[in-house]
Amino acid sequence: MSSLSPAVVAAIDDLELAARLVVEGLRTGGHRSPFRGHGAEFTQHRVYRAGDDLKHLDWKLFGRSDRLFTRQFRETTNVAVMIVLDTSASMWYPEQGLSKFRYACILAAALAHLVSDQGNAVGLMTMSQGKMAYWPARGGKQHLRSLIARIDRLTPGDAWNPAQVIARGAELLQRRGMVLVISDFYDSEDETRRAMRHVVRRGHDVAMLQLMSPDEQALAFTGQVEFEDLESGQRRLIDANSIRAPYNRDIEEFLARCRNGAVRDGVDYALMNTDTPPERALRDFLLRRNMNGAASRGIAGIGR
Amino acid sequence: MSWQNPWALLGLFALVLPVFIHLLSRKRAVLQKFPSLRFLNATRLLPTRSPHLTDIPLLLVRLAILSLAILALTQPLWVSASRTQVLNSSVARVFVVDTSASMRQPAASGQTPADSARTLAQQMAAESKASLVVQTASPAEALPGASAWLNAQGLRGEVVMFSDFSFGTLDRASVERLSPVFGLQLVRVPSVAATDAGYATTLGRVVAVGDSTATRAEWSVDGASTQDSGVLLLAPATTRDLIEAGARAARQVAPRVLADPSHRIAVVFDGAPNRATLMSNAQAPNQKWMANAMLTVRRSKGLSDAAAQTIVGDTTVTTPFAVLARTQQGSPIVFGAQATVNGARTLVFFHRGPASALSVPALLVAIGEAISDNTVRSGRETIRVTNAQLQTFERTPGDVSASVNAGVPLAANRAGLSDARWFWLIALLLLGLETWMRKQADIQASADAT
Repeated sequence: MSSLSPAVVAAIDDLELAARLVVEGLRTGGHRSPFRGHGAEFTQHRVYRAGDDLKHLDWKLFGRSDRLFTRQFRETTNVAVMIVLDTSASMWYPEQGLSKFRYACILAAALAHLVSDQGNAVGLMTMSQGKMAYWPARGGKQHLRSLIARIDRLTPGDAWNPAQVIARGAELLQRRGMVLVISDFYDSEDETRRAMRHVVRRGHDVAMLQLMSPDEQALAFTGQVEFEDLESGQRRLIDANSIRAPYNRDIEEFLARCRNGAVRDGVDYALMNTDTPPERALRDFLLRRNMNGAASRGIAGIGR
Repeated sequence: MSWQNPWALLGLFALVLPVFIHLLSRKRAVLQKFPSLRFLNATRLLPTRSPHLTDIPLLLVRLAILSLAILALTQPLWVSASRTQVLNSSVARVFVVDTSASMRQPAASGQTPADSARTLAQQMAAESKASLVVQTASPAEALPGASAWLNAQGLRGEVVMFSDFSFGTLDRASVERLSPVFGLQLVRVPSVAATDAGYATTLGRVVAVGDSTATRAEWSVDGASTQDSGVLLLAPATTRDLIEAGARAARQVAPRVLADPSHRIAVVFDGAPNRATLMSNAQAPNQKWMANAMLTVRRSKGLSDAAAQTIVGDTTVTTPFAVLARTQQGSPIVFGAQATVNGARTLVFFHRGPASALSVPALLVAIGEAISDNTVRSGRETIRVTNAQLQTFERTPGDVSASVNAGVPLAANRAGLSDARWFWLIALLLLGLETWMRKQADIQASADAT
C-alpha cells in the first residue's frame, strides 16, 4: 500500500481521522511489521511458523486439534507518555501546504493513538496563549479523543519556553515514563538540551522529533529575498544564491549538534522532513527505537 | 525631415534620467517568511546597489519611448515631393508702396503715382494667400521688416515694391537685407516728368528733371542761411543765400569735415568781391593734399554730370589754374589753384555760372568727399536706379525646401501639419511592450524567489 502523501494528509481537516489513517498505514505496511506483540494479556492465536519462540506454543490446543498455534499477547505494561508539542511561531512554516506545526500535530495525534491503543496513558504538555497547557497522561478512548481535539485546537505563535515545558512535563509524569518532544529545536538550544538531559537523569525515556521543511533545510530560494523572521518579525534582505552554501553548512552543523547531543545524552533522536509521509517517518522512527531495544518501554507492539 | 520645434530637442537631456534610475535601482526583493534568521547572518548582506545597469532591454525600451516622445514634441515634418508641391503653391507677399515726394506728384489726371501703385498693390494682395501692404516714404527701410513678417508666415515669400525708383530708393545693400529665400519683384510706377515743379525740403527745393528712369536733382534755394564750416565760401551778397542753401544741401550728401584742420579750402563764386585779386595771385598747388583733393573733385561723377547740365559763356583758363569740370560744350565751369586767403595758403576752387546751378552743390559735395575722412564718406554715395539695375535686384521666391534649409518655420506648423502622430503611435506600442516586459520581470522575480 502506498503511503499517505503529505499533500493528502494536509488536506484532511479532521486530525483524529488523519491520525487514524497514519496509524492504519503503519499497521498495513507492505513489509513485515517489526513490532511483535508480547505482554501479559493474551489476544489471539496464530499458526506456528518456523522460528517462533516455543514458549509461546499452545500445547493444549495442539493436544486438542493436532495443529501448532502460537499464542500472541497484548502489551500490558502501562507506560505514561507525555507528548511535548512546540507551538512557537517558527513552526508555522511553510505557510502553504503542510506546515511543520500541522505535521507535528498529526505526529502527536498518531502517536497518542498508538500509545492509547496499546493501553498506555498519554498526556500533552505545551504552551497555549502564553501559559503552559497540560493534559495529564491517561488511558482510554475517551481521553484519547479529547486529547486529539485539544491538539487540533492548538495554534502556533504563542510564547514558547522549551526548557520549562519539557521539565514541567516530565515532572508531572507521576511515574517513570516517556517524554516525546516534537519541535524544530530552534529556541534556546542549550537550555533545551539541559532540560532533556535532566529528564533522562530522572529515569524517563526521552525522544526528540526534530521537524524541518525541505525549503528551510536547503534554502530553496534564488535572487534577492527579504526574509522575515516568523517569531521576531525582523526582516533581512539577503541574496539567497550567495548565502546558500554557508547557510547549508550552518544548518547541517546545527542538526548534527542536535543529533550528537541527543546521542550523548541518551535521548532518542529523529529528524523528520515535512515532505516525508508522516506514517513513513513514524515507522522509521519506531523501527529504529525497536532495534535500539527501547520497544518495550513505550510505544511498541504495533504488530498483530 | 524638418523639425518645426527644434527647441524640444533639449528634452533629450532627460534621457539620463532612466539611465540613472536603472543604475541606482536594485532588483526587487521578494518577501519571504522564514522560521528563523539565526543562520542568515547580517554579515552576508549584499550591497543593496551594484554599479551595473539593471535590466538593459527594459532600459532600452524606456529610452526609446522617451526619445520618441521628445522627437514628437519637435513637430517633425517629412517634406515629401507632394507636400513641397502643396506648400509651394501658396506664396505670402508684402507689397511696399513708395509714398515719397516724387510719388506724390499728381499727374495730369490728378492721380498721383502712389495712388495707382496702391490700387495695383491691393489688387495683387487680394490674389495672394497671405499679404501685407506697407506704405512708406523710404521703401528700402521696409525690407527688413518685410523679411521678418514673411519668416513668420512659413510660406514661400515675396516682396513686391511699387516705386518710381528715383535717387536712393533702393541699392544692393538694402536688397541684401531681405532674406535670400524670399523673392523680390520691382514694379516701376511712371512718375510725372517735371522740370520746374519741385518740392520743398527744409534745406531747399528739389526738382525732378527728365523722366522717371533717370532722375537728377537740381537745387534752388529758399532756406535760411547757416554758417558753413571747414570750407570758406566766397560769394557776392546777392547770391549768398543761394550758395548757403546749396551748401546745406550738399552737407546732407557729403558732410564737409576736414580730415586735417590745418587744410584750408575756399570756393569763390562769380561776383565775389575779391575774386579778381585771388585769381591774380593764384599759383599751382605745391602740397600733396591739394593735388589729391583737386584730383578727387575732377573725378566726381556728380560734379561732371551737374556741370554738363549747366550753361555758361565760353572762356579759357590757363595755368596756374587746373580745369576740374566743364559744361557739355566744353567750357570750363570749375577750376582750382592755390592762393593766399586771409593770409593763409588755401586751396581755392573757382566756380563759374549761376549760383542756382546744380553744379554748386555738386562741387561742394565733391569737395566734401575729397576732404572728409573715409568713415564719413562711406555709404553716402548716391545711386542711379536704372531698369537694368532693377533687373539685377529682382529674384523669384525660393522653394519651400530652401526655406526649410534656411531654418524658416513652415506654415505647416501653424496649420498643425506634422508627422508627430507616427512617433506617438510607436511610443505607445513601445509603452505596451514596456508594461509587458515589466510584468514578465515581476513574474520571473516571484518565480525565482520560490
